[in-house]
Amino acid sequence: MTARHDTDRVIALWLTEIAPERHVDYLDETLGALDRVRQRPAWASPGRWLPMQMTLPRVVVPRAAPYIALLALLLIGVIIAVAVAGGQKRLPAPFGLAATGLVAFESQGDILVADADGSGRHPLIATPGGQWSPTFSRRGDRIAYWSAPTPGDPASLYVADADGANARLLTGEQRFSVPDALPALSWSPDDQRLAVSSDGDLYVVNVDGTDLHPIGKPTHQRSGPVWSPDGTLIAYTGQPLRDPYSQTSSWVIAPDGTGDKEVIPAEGGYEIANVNPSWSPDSRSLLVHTGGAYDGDDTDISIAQRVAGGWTSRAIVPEQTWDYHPSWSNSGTQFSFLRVVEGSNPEQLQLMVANADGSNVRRLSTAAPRFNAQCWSPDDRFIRSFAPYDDPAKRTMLLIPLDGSAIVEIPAPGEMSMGVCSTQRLAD
Amino acid sequence: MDRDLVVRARGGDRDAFARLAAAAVTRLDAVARMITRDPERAKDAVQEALARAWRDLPTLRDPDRFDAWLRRLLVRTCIDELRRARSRVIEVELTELDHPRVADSSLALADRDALEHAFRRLDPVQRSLIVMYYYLDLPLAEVAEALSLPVGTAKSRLSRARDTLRAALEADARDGVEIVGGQPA
Repeated sequence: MTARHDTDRVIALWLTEIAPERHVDYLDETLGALDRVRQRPAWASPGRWLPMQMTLPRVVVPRAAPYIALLALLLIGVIIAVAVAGGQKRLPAPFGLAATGLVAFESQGDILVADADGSGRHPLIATPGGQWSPTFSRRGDRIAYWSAPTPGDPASLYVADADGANARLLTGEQRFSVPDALPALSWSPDDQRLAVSSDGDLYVVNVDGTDLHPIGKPTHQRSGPVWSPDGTLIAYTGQPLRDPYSQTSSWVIAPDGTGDKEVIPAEGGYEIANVNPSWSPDSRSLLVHTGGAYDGDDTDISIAQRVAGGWTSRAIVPEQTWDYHPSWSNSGTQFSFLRVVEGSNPEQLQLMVANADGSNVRRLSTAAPRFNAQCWSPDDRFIRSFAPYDDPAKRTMLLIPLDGSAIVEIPAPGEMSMGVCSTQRLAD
Repeated sequence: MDRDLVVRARGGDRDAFARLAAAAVTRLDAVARMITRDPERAKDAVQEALARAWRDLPTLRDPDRFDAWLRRLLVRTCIDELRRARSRVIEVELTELDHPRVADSSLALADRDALEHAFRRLDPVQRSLIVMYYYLDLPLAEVAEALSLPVGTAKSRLSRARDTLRAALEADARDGVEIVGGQPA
């Protein structure tokens, strides 16, 4: 036997001696403490698993239609390609209103896209393994996504052209722990860098794959980065290092790791609040939902605003209602959020819209499905959602128009995740 | 691992989760005591890992991956525990549990002491590598995955950790105890 094998055997033997398996007397205590821990829905937001119930009419796209539409799209694509050959493609501004392009989503480990009217659904990235979190760049000409041998495994970050070609690995051999339904990546406004989160750490990487590095000191956990439109800050959800509960708060940090600052403090351990921050187009304010510190405490829509010398925060929709997941419109004139239908059992949600100052809160749908990163189309004409939450196999993507016209429903070929909300921006 | 239990627990069934936890906790506790070398920190790590598991279970896509996923949570909480402990510079007093009297042990007391001291000098990731590779007998690729490390990096760090332990044993042997096949000559 070689000395190396001697060492291996001695180490293995020593390990079995130092910590023999024993009766564990703290399991009941551990399980009892779970009363304080709410399960995190797959998209890491408050745990209200609601059935889908919509009152607006829907337009269901037949499953065969995408293939016909795909052929039509190919023909149109060829014509357009010939027409613009040699010309410079015009790109939209990174923020504000823009024309609406493709909507992207993940199903069965592939990334699919469709037009905003529900037609033309087709796979964009369909390589072996799993791909998820498709996120178009600010100018709509590229798309970032996570990829792993098996969906949900430690993943690598890729960027491809908007048509799915030229996929490039950005993160080398490093693997990231990114649940398939969490919004764990964000483009910088100039589309030259990406911010990502994994296992409580934030990272920034250049779009060419260079200079991947963590930002921020190891003082607390960080997740869900969202780059500000002016590029100066990254908003994220902070959590104490040792906190499996819901002590989540809203933070901002500069892309170089300086200026780490809590802008909305944690309130308590019942709801998972302060997640999915939404920047206003002028980068002056952030919207999140807050509250729910104890069972029975309601949740509010809160706003953190930059003021001289720092930040201030307040509830902008303080009503005694359960409100979640605010999202700024691209124009910055209004925002949307979800509200629990009072007295509903099982609970239902309705999609609400308010003016930028929190006034004129109005209902867009009488009941809406659970969703995480509800988002506005670049032209602000519809809000995107998924339903139902509790059955991925039957889940579809919903495009809910703000003008009250028919909801567009885009079915997936199989199970669909719904954590990331991304729609391609195009030049007008 | 019962796949049905995982699916039910993922859907919010506390009883199902309790059964999964009961089946796993003995092994988790042993692993945590190995990595942390402190029964109280091990208890904290196991409790936190189980709480995180319950909280995040709905994000687990493949129920068949539950065991590996839970193991990964535990290892990471152990690493966090050790990093926090290091920042507080707390000297841990060894308890009887850390030095079991094994009547028919094939390891010499001097070897155990040498390994103990050397192991405590390893960083938290190296300790986790050693435990996962030598005790849990996991393939290197799975060890690397659990620690979110490239396989090459995991291999080199494991090699350095093993070299540290071997050097401790060799130094111990030079001091008078010769190791032959793991037993005193």
